[in-house]
Amino acid sequence: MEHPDIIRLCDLDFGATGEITKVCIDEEKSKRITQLGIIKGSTIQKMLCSPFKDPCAYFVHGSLIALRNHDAHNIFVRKLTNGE
Amino acid sequence: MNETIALVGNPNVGKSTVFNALTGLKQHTGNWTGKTVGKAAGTFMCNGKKLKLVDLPGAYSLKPQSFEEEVTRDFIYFGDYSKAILVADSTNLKRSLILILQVLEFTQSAVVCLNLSDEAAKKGIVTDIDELSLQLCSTVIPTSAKKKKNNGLDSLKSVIDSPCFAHSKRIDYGEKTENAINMLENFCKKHCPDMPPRFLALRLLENEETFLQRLGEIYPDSIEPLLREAELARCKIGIASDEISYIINNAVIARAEQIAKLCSKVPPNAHAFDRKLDYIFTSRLTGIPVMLIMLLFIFWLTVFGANYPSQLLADLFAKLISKVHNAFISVGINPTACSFVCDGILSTIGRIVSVMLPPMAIFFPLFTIWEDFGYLPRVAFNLDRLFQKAGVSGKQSLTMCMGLGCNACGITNCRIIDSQRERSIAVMTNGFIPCNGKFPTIIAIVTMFFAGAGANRFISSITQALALTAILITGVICTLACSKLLSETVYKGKSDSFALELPPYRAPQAGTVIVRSILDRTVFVLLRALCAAAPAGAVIWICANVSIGNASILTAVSQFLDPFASFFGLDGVILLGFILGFPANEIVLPIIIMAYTCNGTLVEFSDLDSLRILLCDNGWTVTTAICTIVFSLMHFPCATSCITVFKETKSLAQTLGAIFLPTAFGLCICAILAHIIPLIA
Repeated sequence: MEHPDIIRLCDLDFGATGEITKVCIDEEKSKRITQLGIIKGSTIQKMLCSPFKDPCAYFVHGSLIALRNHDAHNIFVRKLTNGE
Repeated sequence: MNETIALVGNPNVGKSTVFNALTGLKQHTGNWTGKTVGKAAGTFMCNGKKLKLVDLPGAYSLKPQSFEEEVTRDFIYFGDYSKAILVADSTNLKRSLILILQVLEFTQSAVVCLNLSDEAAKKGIVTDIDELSLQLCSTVIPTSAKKKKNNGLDSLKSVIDSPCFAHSKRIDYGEKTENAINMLENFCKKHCPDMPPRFLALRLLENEETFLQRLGEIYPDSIEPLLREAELARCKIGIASDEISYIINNAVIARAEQIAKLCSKVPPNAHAFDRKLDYIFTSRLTGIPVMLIMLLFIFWLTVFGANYPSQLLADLFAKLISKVHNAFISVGINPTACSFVCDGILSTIGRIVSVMLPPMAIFFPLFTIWEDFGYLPRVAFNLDRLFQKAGVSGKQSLTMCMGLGCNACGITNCRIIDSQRERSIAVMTNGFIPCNGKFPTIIAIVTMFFAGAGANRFISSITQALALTAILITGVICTLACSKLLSETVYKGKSDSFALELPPYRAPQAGTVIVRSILDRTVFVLLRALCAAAPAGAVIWICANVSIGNASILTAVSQFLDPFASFFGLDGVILLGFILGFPANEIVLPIIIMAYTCNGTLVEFSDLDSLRILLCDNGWTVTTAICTIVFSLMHFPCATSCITVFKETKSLAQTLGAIFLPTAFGLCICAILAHIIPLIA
């Protein structure tokens, strides 16, 4: 990892916010994610987890979006604030 | 020629509610992404003029990621309309603005409808209408389309009637991209004079396939030179089309953010209540239990509430039919014809109405309230892991929920699934979910054989609800198993990335809900069942009363099917019942009963105890009951569903798959149970 500050989205704590630095998902498969605004530069906050711990829901551009851990694993963020 | 107005906005902002309120049509609405599938059109009066209104499927952006979004994009860019109503969500202005800004780059004839104002007010969110109006250079009308009075729709109507003009400040896409746009603008003006040149330049630079296809259809001579120029421009600035796409997307989002910051004040605890509910609905401890309890409750209320009305209707029909029977006889009508009408057609109709109508009239409104509230996406959220493991989309649970009401509706709703592969699997496995038409059969058999003779009505309704829940869970497990099978064999591939919006909770509109679900769904489904029931009853009567040799057709056919059927724990009559029940699942049990009783006597069918005696007299055992329930859950879909599968997939193979898969599973499980249960019991 280049920066100690940069972590995978799936490792973000609950309530913490981050700024997306890289989205490493295959372009074909990431179209819906990109369309919802999950792109480099956007602020994202981890809010909830499902009973099976996967997927988790993130607050981005004013809406709550559920993302699978598999995809959150391939999104990198720079931590902005800590969670509770 | 009526002037056409387009209704466009994100999913879930209440476009369909606005549509309904303006046109008075009962468009089906619900609080989850993808509720409106396909365009809907209606008309409304505005200052004495008749205007046509088109409700487009919700889209997050005009760069489509699904078939539905393509429909919206194509209508906006290529459709015939004079004005657009841009419906925005007051509680989330930023996201709504992303789409609005995209539309405003194409057309200036638009007005902004800031919906859900009441929801925003409840959360303490304040929108500066004047500032927003300034930023978008457009009229902004705050509305709460859900409300009956003071909903802002009159203001909207008065604005629509006059020429609308909206023009937001140009978005700056950065030096390089702006250069490329400049290079292309004149060329665009020359070749496609009808399209705004800046807009066209941007789309050409983005190089999105389906858009270029449509463009080619309209300007077949210009498309080649345009594409060449665009490629040239991209080379000159040294940026590839996907990078340009990213730049454009980013710039629109940034501008939306800027405007939202200026115009919308959101207090920090605006969504606190929603988050509390989310915790209850999705936490490790309470998520799944709450889901099961809610399901049980809905089933229980349906079963318990329908009990008395069903009895009432059955008695009513019995009296009516016997009166008709007597009247016919007294008038001198041939007893055979009389029997044909009364025992054949009328009694089947009577049974359908008394058994089907009350549960549906309770279930559909309850389910619609559940939908309106916004709970269903949380179900998809909770269960997605299971669907991941099965190699399919989490949105499949939403289509399965729709299938609970009516399989054909569930199949149409598979359009919300973005990937073709996952959509096909969802379509083919929708038949594993028990639709409302299967409930009466299942409930009746469960009550007769498992709820206990003469049991307290309250206790037996709980047993019935538990049984329905258990059967639904079985259906879900089989759907997952079948989906896994398909994604390992015929539809190989890993799950696409899954991103689902969990919308804010909205208070369901109780009054409208009840009226709408009774009219839309209950009456519609009932009519369909009746249309299938009358001819089916006639056919059965004929088969039972017309003989070949020394046995009636019915006896001959059911005896022929018997050996095959009994391997699966059923009998010839039951199998015949399912086969003749192809038009509508609701008529299966009435057909079976009619076949057993077809000696001309009218059986008192209001009493389940005497029905059980009838069935046992005809060889039913506990094994038969269980196998019939299982086969009822998993057999070929009804005629309407099969037609819908074909319409949606345009593929004979998938239609055959949809027919074959549940039948195969059903027969296998029945065969296993038929041989195991007698050993245990």
